[in-house]
Amino acid sequence: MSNLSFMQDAFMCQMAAAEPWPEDASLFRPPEGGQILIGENALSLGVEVYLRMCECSFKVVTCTNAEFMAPSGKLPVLLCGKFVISEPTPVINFMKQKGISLSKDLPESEQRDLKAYIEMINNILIPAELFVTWAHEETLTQITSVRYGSPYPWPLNKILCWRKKQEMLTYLEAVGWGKDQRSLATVQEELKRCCQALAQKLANKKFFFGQKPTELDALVFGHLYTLLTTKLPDNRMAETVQSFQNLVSFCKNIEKQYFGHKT
Amino acid sequence: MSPAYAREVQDTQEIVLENKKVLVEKVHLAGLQRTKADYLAEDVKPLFKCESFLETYQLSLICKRKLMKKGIFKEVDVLIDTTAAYKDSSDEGIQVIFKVKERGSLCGEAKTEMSNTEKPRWLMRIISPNLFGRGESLSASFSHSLSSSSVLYQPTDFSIGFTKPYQNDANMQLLLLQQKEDCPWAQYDQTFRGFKTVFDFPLLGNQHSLEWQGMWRELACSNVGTAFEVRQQMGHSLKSSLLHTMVLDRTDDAILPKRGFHLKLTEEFAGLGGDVKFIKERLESSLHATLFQKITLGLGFQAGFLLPYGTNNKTCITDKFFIGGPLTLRGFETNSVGNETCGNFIGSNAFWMVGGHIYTPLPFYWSRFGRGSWLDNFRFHGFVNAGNAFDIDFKATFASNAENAKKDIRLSYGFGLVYKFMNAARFELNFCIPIKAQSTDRLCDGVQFGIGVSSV
Amino acid sequence: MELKCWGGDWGLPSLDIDCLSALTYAYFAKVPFEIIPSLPRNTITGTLPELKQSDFIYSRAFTIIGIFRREGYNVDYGLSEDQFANTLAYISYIEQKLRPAILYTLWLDSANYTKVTRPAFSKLCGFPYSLWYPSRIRHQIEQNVVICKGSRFLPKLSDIEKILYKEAWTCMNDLEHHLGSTLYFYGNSPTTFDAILYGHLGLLLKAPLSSTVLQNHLHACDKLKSFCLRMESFLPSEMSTSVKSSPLSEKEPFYKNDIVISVGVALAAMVCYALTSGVLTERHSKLAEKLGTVRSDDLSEIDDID
Repeated sequence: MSNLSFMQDAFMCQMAAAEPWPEDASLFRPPEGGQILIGENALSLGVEVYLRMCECSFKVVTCTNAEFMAPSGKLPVLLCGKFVISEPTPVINFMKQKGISLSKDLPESEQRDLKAYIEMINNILIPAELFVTWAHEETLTQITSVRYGSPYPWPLNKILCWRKKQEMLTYLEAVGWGKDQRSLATVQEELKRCCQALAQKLANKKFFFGQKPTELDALVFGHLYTLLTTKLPDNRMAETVQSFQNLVSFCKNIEKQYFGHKT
Repeated sequence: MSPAYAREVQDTQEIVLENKKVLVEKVHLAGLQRTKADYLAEDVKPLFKCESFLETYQLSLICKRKLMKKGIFKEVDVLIDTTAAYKDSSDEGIQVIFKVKERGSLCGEAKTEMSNTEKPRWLMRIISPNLFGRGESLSASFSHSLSSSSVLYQPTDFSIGFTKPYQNDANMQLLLLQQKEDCPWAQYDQTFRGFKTVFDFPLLGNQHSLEWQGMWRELACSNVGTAFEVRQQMGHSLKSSLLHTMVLDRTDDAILPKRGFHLKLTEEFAGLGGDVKFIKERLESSLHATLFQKITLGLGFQAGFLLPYGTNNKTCITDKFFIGGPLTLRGFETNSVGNETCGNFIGSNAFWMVGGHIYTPLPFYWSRFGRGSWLDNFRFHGFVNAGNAFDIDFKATFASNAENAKKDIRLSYGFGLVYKFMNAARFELNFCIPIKAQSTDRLCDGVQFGIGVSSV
Repeated sequence: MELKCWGGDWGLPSLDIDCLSALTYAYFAKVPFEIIPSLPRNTITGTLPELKQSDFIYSRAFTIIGIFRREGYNVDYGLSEDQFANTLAYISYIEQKLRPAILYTLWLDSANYTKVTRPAFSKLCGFPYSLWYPSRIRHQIEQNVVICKGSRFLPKLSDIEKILYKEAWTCMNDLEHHLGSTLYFYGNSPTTFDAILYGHLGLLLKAPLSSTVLQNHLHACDKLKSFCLRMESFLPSEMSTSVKSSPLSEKEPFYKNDIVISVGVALAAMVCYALTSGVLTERHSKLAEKLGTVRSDDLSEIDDID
């Protein structure tokens, strides 16, 4: 899904490296509990935790048109000095160019594994969240359409929701997760397999790759925390994640360590 | 001369028709199929008041023109005959017969269209004129701007319109449309989709228009490098607004008037529904006078302001004013004057522009000017343009806002060629010298070409 | 168990990535199955590969391999839990990074598509499907690649191509290092991951491409190349030829039907043209005169024209 990473690399490589991290970096996302959807929340939270793990100063700005501000049309959006970057992978790569990375001390084989596990999240968790949001009728009518159209007046809220639904269904079809290709039960199975692999990788360590957190920890936290804490009409996703105790305690630890007293 | 012919000449009488007293007894409209007769009745009724043949002849030609202007007939032929064939007709009775050929129920047209703010566009329209018999027309049109970067043969703009004319040149129009526009001065593009209801009517010699618009506006960046201030305004908004336009036109020509005064005042009130709330006023005026039949002096003035109200007091870039262009503030690139960040112009909520022109015929054509050849459409002109785009602070005093308006005025002068194209548009090729500008404005120093309808 | 797959060519049992992955697993796990070359339109789910096992239908390579494992043909029993988790991660990695590039080079690269892929698939589809089926697949792949990888600012395929190839190179380099010194990725006998990876790389290696940018990089990765050659040894050698010849009988009824329909449509079109152009009714048609079928109305019209 990192469709702009190449262009942004080409654009910003030398320029980004030269400037230090600015004081007024901002992370833009739609309002939590209101407009934001599961998938978007997962990615935004992942990036937020990553920035906190890297101890970079930033502030979170909520705005209703974050999706349209993004160069690639996907959330979250990071404004860093003069640069605007969207989506987690380009943000991580951008920070790497500034010399900020959590995985640079890992041995090469583990760095490769890290890449593979991040792709696994992109390959399974992201489409699963999009499926639940847009291809599952109950969730679509009860949660998604209410949330997505909430900042707009009638009839714009209905039109935009319908348009986004068509776009998302086409996207899901293209990646093989369309309405006719999967059902909520098969999605749940895939999610279980993914969580099994993650739980296996984590075992009883504090973080996936030892004592220090990496990008994988941030992104996994973003996804699992969102799945655990978002109330949906059909709670199979949350139940699946909950059945893996070490993943649940992993989320609780990170929340305590990086978000303090938040529940 | 043969004897038979000579006898014929002796028998006939010469009748001088000009001042002969007549009584128009009947007016026929032949060839009507879909059109209802009562729709045309008002236009031909004045004929009954005619008292002389010449008056009848002239008035019937005027009626023919009015009928053709309605746009529902292919041909109109006029015949004046006596009513001798009818019984109970008077000796002076005549009848006027209009033979009309109606347009088909479906017509099409393909053309290139020009308007002031946009580049030329190709347009294809399918019209059903005279839908219910009283001049109503239903049209569907597809068009594409010739400057747009997307595929040329895929229409980007659509509209479906229904027009109903009323008596006295009033008409009502319902329009459903989609329009896309590229805004390279701020590196974004905007798409408008919505519904318009327009009611045009003449009042006290001026043309008025009342309009309600419900528009869904979608703004999207067209470039990765768009400035953040512009990026922050991307997204969707819904505007529901009422517009009123008044046009006072006392000029003798729409494009290159020789004398007269023109005033257009537009008011827009947005906020009945939708999420955009503002009041917008715009004034366009011009004054022309001709000396020695060849030299025309022109003065133009345009100004406007935008006042947002409501809880967030925010205005969108798509509602703001921009100045600069080959026909308005010459010497500066289109919409590239005023507030700017990172090379993108974000508009302002007030502006004014002034222009002074001297028009002369082409130098080598001076003596033959006005004789009606195609070279009459060309003019050589010298101009001076000044203007400013600034932000009004509605909470500050009038004096401080006036200071803002006077500060940083842009000024340019030059000369060039103006061509009136088919009474529809104005082509200008100018050599411009901007003399006062801000460092962030984009100049067009030297040759500048522009096409449009209205100018300053 | 019946496994419906795309047919084969170029020395491979199947020309489709997923089909090849499933077949490779089936061959080295020695699963007893029957291979049936077919087209997606002849399947129940509409996709290939499709496995039919006693009234149950399964699609997607990963699911089919899972069924083989369930039936007792499990080659992953030697893997540790950790390695099993890794397998899933690396499968996702190649699906995200390697697969789009391979599909691009086979289908969206114009030189390769016109000279290699389209002829090969046309042979598999048979007449008349070869006229439009391959281009339909190509269009679908193009749309999918643009949806997943493109954006408003990368509308040109050539820009997307750069991204795809760069990601594929990085992926292949990582796999090269991951392979290390063992014969296969998780030891000295092949596992699920090897099957799925061979499904991708085997096709890239064996296809006689004319635009070989991606293929060259694979040739430059020695370990991956020898891995592919090792995997090839599991495939039956005469696979490509026998696949084509065996179910010709199944293809035949469809073939005959298609010919009858095509000829019928052509005849109907010619008859309609003849009737509407007036060959049989116009005055000036000699055929009409001979047959005596000239329309009589024509004669009266002449008088009215001045």
